Amino acid sequence: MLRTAVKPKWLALLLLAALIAIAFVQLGRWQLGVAHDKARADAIAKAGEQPVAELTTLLTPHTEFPAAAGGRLVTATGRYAAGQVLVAGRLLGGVDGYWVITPLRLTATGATFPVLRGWTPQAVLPEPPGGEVTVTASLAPGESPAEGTYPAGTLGSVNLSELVNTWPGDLYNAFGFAQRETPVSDPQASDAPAPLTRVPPPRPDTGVQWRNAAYALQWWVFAAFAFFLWVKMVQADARGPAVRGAAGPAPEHAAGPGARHGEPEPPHTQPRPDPDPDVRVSAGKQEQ
Amino acid sequence: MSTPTTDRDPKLASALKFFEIMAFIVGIGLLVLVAEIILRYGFDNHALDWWPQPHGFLYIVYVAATANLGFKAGWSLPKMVGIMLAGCVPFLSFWVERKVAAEFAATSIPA
Repeated sequence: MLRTAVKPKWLALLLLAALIAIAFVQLGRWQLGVAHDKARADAIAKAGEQPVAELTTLLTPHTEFPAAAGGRLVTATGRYAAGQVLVAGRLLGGVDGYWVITPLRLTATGATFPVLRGWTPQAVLPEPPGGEVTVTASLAPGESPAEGTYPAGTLGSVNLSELVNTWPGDLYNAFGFAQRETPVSDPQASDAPAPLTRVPPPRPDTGVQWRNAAYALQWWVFAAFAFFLWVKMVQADARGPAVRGAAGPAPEHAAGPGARHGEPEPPHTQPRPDPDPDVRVSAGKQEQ
Repeated sequence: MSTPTTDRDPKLASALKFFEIMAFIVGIGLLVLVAEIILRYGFDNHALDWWPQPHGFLYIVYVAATANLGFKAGWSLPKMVGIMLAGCVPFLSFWVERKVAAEFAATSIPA
C-alpha cells in the first residue's frame, strides 16, 4: 500500500485532502468561536432580562449560594458598618491593586452583606458613605481561601468564612460588585465612589452554544473524512492491480472492493475490463 | 448467506438500500433547509432555526452511506465525491438516487 501511496497521483490527492481538511478544521474552529460568543451573548441577554431583585428575596443569611443567582443584579438597603477589609492582588485594567469590601448591615434583616465598593491601587480604606444607602450590585458567591499570609485587615480572597468570624451578626453567603450606591435621603445624589474605581462584575463562564458547537464537530468530521476517503482509495488501488495480476480467468471479480458484486456479470462500473485503476477514475468521470 | 455469491449480493443490495433511504432523507432535509434559509433571511422568521444542526449530522450519514455503497460497487473517486456533493444541491439528490438505483437495476443486481 505504501508503494501505491507515494505515486504522484495519490500524493497529489493527499495534498488536496490535507488542504480540504485544513480548511474544514478552520471552519470548525470558527464555528466553535461563534458557539462561545453566542453563549456569552445569550447569557448576557438573559441576565439583562432578569429584573433587579431585592437581595432579601433571593438569599437568606448562612444558606448556600443559589447558582442561578450568580451575576444577578440586586438592591440592598442598609448602613455601612465598621470593619471594611482589603483584598490584595486584584488587577483592574492590568494594574495591581486592592478590592475594598465593606459590610453593609441591612435595614430589613440586620444581617450583613459584603459589598465590593471598588478597587484602589493603594492599600487605603476610604470612609464609606454614612447614613442609609441603597446599593445596586451584581451578586457573586464567595471565593475559596487564599494561600499565604496577609497583614491585618487584608485578605487574599473574598473568603466569607473568614469574614463571618471578623464581623458580628449574620452574614449572607454572597458578596456584591457594587454598581451604584444611592443615599436613601437623597436619591438624586451623584454616584462617585472616589478614590475607588467600580469593579465590573466578572463575566460568567458561559460555555458554548450547543448548535454552533455541533457545526464545529461536523466540520471536523468532514475533515477526517477527507483523509479516510484518501486511505480507502489508496487501499483499493493497491489491492486492485496486484490481485488482478494473479487472478487469471475472472480478473474483475477479485479486484478488491470494487468488484464484489455481480458475480456472474462483470461489474457495471467498469465498462472496460481495463486493469489500470487510473483509467477507472477517468471512466468514472464519463459516467457522470 | 450460505454461499459466497448470495453473501455478496445482499451486502451490496443493503448498501444500495441504505444509500437510497439516506438520499431521500437528505433530499427532504435539504428542502427544509432551503425553507429555513428563506424564512430566516427573507422574513426574519426563526421557526426552523433548529433544523440545520441535525441536518448536518444526517448529511454525514448520507456521506457515509455513499462511501459504503461506492466502495462496495467500486466507484471512482470523482463519481463518489460527485454523488456526495449532490446531497448539497436541492432536488439533485432525488435525481441522483434514481440514477444510481437505475444503474444497479440495469446490471440486474438483486435488490
